[in-house]
Amino acid sequence: MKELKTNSSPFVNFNQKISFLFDGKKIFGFKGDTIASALLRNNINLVGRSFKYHRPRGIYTCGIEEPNALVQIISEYSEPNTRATIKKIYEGMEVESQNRWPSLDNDIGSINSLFSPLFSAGFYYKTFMGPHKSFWKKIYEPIIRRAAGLGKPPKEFKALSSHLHHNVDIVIVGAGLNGLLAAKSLINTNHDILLVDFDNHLGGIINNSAKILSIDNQSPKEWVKSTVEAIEKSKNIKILKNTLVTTYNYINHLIAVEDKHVGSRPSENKVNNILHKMRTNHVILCNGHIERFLSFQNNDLPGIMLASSFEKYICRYGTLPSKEPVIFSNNSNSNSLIYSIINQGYKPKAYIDSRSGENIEPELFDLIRKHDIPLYTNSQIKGVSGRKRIEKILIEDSTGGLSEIHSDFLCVSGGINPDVHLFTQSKGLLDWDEKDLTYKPSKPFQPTITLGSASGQFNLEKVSDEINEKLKIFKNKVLDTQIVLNTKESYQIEKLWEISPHKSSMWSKSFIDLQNDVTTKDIRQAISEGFDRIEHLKRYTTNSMGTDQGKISSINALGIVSDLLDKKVNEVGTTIYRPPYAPLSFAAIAGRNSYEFYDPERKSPIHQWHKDNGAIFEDVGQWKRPWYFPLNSSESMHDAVQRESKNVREFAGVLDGSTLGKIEIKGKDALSFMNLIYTNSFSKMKPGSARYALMLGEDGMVKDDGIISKISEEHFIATTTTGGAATVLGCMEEYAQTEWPNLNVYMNSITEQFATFNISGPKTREIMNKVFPEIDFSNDAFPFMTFQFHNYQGMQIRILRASFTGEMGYEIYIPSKNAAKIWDQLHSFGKDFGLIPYGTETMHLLRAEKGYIIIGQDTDGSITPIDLGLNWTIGKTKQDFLGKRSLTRTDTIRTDRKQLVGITPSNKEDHLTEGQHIILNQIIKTPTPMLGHITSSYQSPTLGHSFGLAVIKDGHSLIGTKAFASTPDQKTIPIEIVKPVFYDEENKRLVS
Amino acid sequence: MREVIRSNEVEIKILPYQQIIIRGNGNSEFNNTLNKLFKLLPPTDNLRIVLNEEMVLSKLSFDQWNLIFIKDIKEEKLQIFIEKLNKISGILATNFSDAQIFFQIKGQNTYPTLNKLTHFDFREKSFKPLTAAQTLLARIDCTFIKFDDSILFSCNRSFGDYLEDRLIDAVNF
Repeated sequence: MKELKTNSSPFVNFNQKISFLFDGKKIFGFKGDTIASALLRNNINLVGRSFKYHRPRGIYTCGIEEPNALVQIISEYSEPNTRATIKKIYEGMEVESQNRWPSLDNDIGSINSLFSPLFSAGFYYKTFMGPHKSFWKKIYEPIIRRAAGLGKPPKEFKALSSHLHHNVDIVIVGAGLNGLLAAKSLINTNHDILLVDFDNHLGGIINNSAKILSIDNQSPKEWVKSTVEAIEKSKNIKILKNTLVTTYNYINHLIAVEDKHVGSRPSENKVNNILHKMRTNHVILCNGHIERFLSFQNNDLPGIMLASSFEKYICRYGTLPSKEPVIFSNNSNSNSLIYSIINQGYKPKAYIDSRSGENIEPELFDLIRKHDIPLYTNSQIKGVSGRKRIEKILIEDSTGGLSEIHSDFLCVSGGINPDVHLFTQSKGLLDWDEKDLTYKPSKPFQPTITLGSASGQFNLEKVSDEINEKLKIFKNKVLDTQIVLNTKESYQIEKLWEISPHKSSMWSKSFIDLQNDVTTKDIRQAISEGFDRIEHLKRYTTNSMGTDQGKISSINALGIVSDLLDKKVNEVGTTIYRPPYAPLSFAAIAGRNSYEFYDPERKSPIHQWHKDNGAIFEDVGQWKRPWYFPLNSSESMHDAVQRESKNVREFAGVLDGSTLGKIEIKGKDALSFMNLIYTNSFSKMKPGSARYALMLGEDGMVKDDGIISKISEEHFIATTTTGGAATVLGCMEEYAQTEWPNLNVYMNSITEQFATFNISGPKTREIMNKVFPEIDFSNDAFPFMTFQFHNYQGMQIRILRASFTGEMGYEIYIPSKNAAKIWDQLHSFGKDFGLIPYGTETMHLLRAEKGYIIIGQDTDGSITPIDLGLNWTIGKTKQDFLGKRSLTRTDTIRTDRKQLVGITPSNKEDHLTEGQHIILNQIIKTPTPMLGHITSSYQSPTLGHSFGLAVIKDGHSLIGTKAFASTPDQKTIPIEIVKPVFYDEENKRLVS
Repeated sequence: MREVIRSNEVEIKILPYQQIIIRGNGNSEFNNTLNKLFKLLPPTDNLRIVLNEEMVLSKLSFDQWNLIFIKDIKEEKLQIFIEKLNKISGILATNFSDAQIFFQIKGQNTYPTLNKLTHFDFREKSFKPLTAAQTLLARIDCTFIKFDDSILFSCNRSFGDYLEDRLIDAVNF
């Protein structure tokens, strides 16, 4: 192991050495190190390969803005594209570099650089243009797909992430100098406040640079400590550390993700991420600024780093990436870097500033002269060279003369931007500042306040004034914070976006977007090809479309474009930053709404019985319904359904129909209301009787069906389909409240109050006589489609004589908590009569044999009652009902509408399948006219063959004719179109 | 009553409360009927509750009141109440005792636990004691009633197992 570069930092524990693997090689760092700081500590600069050209890439920044150092964390389910600059190391961590083969040092993909003219701006779009359309499918697409992406997809894993909602008055984003001061001024006020910071050590720039000498006569670190303690003690402020605000939605809704396993391996039994969803009245953005880079020849080589990031590695992580870096700047922000390097006992190899001498701060001159640092003013870097890291730097001085410096490290600063991503996500507007050469927040769209460098106020000595002014609406404590700086600076910058190369070469490039490998040449090409609007140019070149959203480069791109178009930057405009601010995992987004909690489940009152008796369940909406009851593990679904169906037809079966919707309707106008809601007329119905009814939409199409039980002229109970229960109740409420408010009627859902058991089969009456001996179930006393209330063992139950199987049957409605008791009784007494439980699949088969429809299966929102042959459900003498007018539209009275028919295969050995098209021709020649399709099909044990229901054009007229059902392999099955009733057409069994 | 979980400074129980949903127009006949039967004058503002030692009456929409019996009441007596209410043509009273399940949550971590499952603002300044609210908890429609030291909430019984599991999960994670 090489000697580690260490220094003092209160944020890294130099007594706790940590080992981890990088590309299989054991590396040592310290507790508190990020992957990047640990690699730099070990003099490792090459950490990845670039997206398109596979160029060697190093560590460019020290934060979330990193475009280059993206790695795959093998020890965390192979999580790809992790920023090495923010990911903390832990013992045993396995890290791999990305986008290289066979190794990082020797990557075959680097030959792409030689073909770079092929990958210029818009190359992807140009592949669509030829030379022949087959090129895309056979050549371009496979190659592009194989080459796309940086990391590899992670392995499947069960993540432990949770969500937490917050409702507060103020959210302060960022706990740097401004965030801490803002929070301090609001301690023990009446506002509930969340202070959110991405770091585990609050303080921001105080920890990351040597800019500040003292705050209120305390050392910066002591001030942070005492301030954080005071905030933590307050009653109204909660601090969230390690939490990144990724999204600023409308109505002050923010989303942030908290990393709960910083510096440790993800736990398998503890939450690793928390997605915080914050709703607040005000947002104070103190999320600082981002330094930008500069475009020059080979500005992507490992060993080039942003100046403030270099300083952060010194101050925050106690590591010096290089003892003799060259510094290149066009602004005053990097002054403190020189101070920090000198503080470590070293000095820069050279300081190059594009500004002329008179524009450079006198204090900086003094510092440079005092330490005898070679100074180049009014100069710029023409380019750098090196194989896998920077080796030589070519400088053009004020006279135009060229000189070369050998150096392994270059710190670059192209100026600073307020971090406006969240502000623009909130729809706030930006203004271009010609003096500071950056966009700054201008008009907030929401109650958003920006402070400090996030607002474009770069003067650290004036932070108190700004806070006092902007936060006075909160009646905060007035601050008088005295901040003394190490380097006297008022931010100054000179315009410099790009430096043209001294000599061009195939390999050398000047990048504008490091993550997507976009060069300044690409920008020129895009403009020359007509993509001169910034939003078009962005998409054509993919500039700033990487996961970093061009955090360190997008303003430079605007600057270059404005120069090329000879426009001002604000005339060019700006692209929109979209959420999330930085990538967050799907696991965090899903939270606990995954796996067993993926979707809420509804269970019937006797769900446990079904489970205990081996039911296989199907999802119907959110309900878990027994699908079938296999006798044993070897009985297939087909066999079970055949057996259950036969049993019901021969003996008896009982279905748990508790999921059916049930609505109680009452009021003095209940009858009028029901006559308006349903197609049927209920006026002549006697109390105690029931009727099958249809509900239509205003378009005349069948919306739902059910059985209406009339208790009295003012009191009804309606059943609905399982899936339609909420819709039907909602529809009733809507019409009662908005269309017919004159009607005195109320309705309550009783779906869950009552379990429903549907018992049917020839032995049913005998079983019912046993279970309810006090009730007379004879035809005379209890005819078909009547119901009775009874008191059964102290509870009120309702029994309706109705059937959905075609056999004589009853529906028993019991208060849910007593449901199991009656279910057990039915089975106890029914055992001797061959009673079995049956599931929904058998129910479907039996009802289809009888020609009973299922809403949503045999109808699709385009079927009228007439199409179904259910004309008899329409009350002919009724003045009005929902959908009535639509039934006489020209379209609904067409004779060639799709109509419900029955289908049987001519060859009884053939099997029909749902969805098969009905056609007239035996030989399929595309396009073949389609008559319709099969909506339901089953193998009937009673009929001894397959059969189906279908909706086909002019179906009612075609009954008795022959046609064909097409199969997916372009074959046809001869069929006969028949009436949609296959069993007991005279209803003898039903009313027996 | 059944304890669901007691951990991490939260205690959750399932309570066997009975309930009647009452629909009506809130006119004087309606108010007098309820007052006579239950010795409670129905609240006139939405999401307000009135209570005595035996029951809580909340107004959940412009024409709906929920009557929760916090002391056990015999089924026969409940049915008599319902029948008496339904004798008035402008009232629909429905036994809802089996349709819903009631949870009670209390303890220092009540709000953070619930806020793992809902965005709802439980702070005193937004959700005052002796008021009600209807919102989603773990994506399930729930009705909340806030008391001084606890929150009572209910959902449709079919969701009961799912919600119970989610609550236990929220306490543990």
